[in-house]
Amino acid sequence: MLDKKEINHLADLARLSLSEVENESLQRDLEGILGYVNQLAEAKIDNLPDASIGLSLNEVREDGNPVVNKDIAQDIISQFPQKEGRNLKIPPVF
Amino acid sequence: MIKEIHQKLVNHEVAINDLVKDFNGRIQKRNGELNAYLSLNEEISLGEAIKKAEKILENNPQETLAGIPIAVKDNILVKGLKTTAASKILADYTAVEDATVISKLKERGVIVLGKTNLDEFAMGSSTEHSAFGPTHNPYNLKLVPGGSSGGSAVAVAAELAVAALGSDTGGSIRQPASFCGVVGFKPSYGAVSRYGLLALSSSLDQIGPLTNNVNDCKTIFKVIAGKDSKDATTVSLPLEAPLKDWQAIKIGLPKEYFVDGTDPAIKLCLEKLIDKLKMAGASIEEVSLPLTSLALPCYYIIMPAEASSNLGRYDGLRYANKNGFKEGENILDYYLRNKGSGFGKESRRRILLGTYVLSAGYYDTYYKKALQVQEAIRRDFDRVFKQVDYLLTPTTPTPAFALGAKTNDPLSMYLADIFTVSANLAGVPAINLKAGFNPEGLPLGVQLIAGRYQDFSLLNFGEQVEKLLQFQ
Repeated sequence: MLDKKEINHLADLARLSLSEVENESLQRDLEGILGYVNQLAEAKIDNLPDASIGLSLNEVREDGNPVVNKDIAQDIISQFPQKEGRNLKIPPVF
Repeated sequence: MIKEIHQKLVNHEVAINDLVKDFNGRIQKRNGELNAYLSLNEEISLGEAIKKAEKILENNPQETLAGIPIAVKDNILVKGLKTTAASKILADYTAVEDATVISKLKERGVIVLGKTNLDEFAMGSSTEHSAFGPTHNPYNLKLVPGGSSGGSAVAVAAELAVAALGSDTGGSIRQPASFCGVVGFKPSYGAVSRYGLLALSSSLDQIGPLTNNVNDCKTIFKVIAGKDSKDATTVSLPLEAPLKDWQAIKIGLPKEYFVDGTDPAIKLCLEKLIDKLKMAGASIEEVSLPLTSLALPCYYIIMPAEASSNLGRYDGLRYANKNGFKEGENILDYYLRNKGSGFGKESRRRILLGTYVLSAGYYDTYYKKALQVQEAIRRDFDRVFKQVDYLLTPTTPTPAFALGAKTNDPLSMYLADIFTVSANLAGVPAINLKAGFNPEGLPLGVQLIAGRYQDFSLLNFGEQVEKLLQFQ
């Protein structure tokens, strides 16, 4: 069902790099899994309801000072793989 | 067990210090062969936790949980300890704060002994997908403990903790509880805050306790449940109502769960229990959940979709990545070099599956339809709980299987969740109860399910059913 090109496309979308070997193994695995979940795609169900956001309730809060715990910031920053001052350093996006 | 230990502490028969030493001694002895714990709390912070617990107990001898040592699944943040999600990508990450459930438990004097092993990012049914080796079933080291909360289940089963916390997205508390012979409870969606739980599938995940008995489950659940301003999906559960008399209790057996393929020893457990429930005065009737056969496909569309989105944050940039950081030529190159390499095979598989079902051209066919089927499943459960109070089903189709038996066939691994996923999709509470052993001495479990937000009702009824099961 999924060929090498399609698997590579998915890997690109997900920002993962795959070896040839893994690509092949994924073709087999995903074929099996998609074959199974296809039952749902193909099932003819009467009166299928709309997708619901489920039981979500609207939860809002006031604006205001969002900073609750300043100490945590230092713990987070100290674990950045790359930093400059108190800023997280990343490769240029553009 | 918690109540008995608490009594001994209050009566000064045992000191909290000695209790913790006792458990740590057993951990030293057995964790090597079981691999239940990935990391242990150090002397200093244990010492502080013990002092705090002693103070709490002194000021309030009614505090049942003060001094009780627990294990915590390594996808739940415990401040100062590593939270790895059993993944290489977080191998170096130290939690900067406590998850809400952990703060709540620590306030009562609970002592965290350490973090337990899981399938990477909670994706799996055997704990074999951990980047740090599998956990072994204490009843037979060649068998899996189940997953993804395998480490937590084993910690309780092998007496390496009084109780443990796990997380359940498709059965990850109940299935390992069944395989290891402990009680495992998945609350209603929204009953327990997910703040501090590394998200897998945000509309399905729940944190829950694994314990030696239902009463312990209730004790812990009472503390961790509750609305949390840090998790907008949490609700306040209705107050506990007294349990109905046996004569007034209606139990449903969903016929779609009682088909061929379930291990005969499990079937026998259920038959014996059904007889006992009838003798106690409950009425038992057959009910139908006609969409059961679509529940697992539905789950394996929704969950990977949500997981692929949630796992996007582990790009090697934001959290600790000291060992594996590879420079890239541009941002895409950077991602390709760093992002995938931290994830194991199963995680990569599910991320790609999720990406597929969400991608243009397939979204309507798979994801949108799965959400519709999920709503239909919810309504089926609502309907059934108008007819009966509780459902009784097997928890798993088989007892624990062998390590390596299903790792080459991901689909056969997924089928282990067949009886557990519906409760996650419908957002209803479900519990695994200990139901004895098979002829090979392997634990067996049975599952009780209740209507949404009927968590206390389920736990109270579970206690009664547990008494019946003890004499099987």
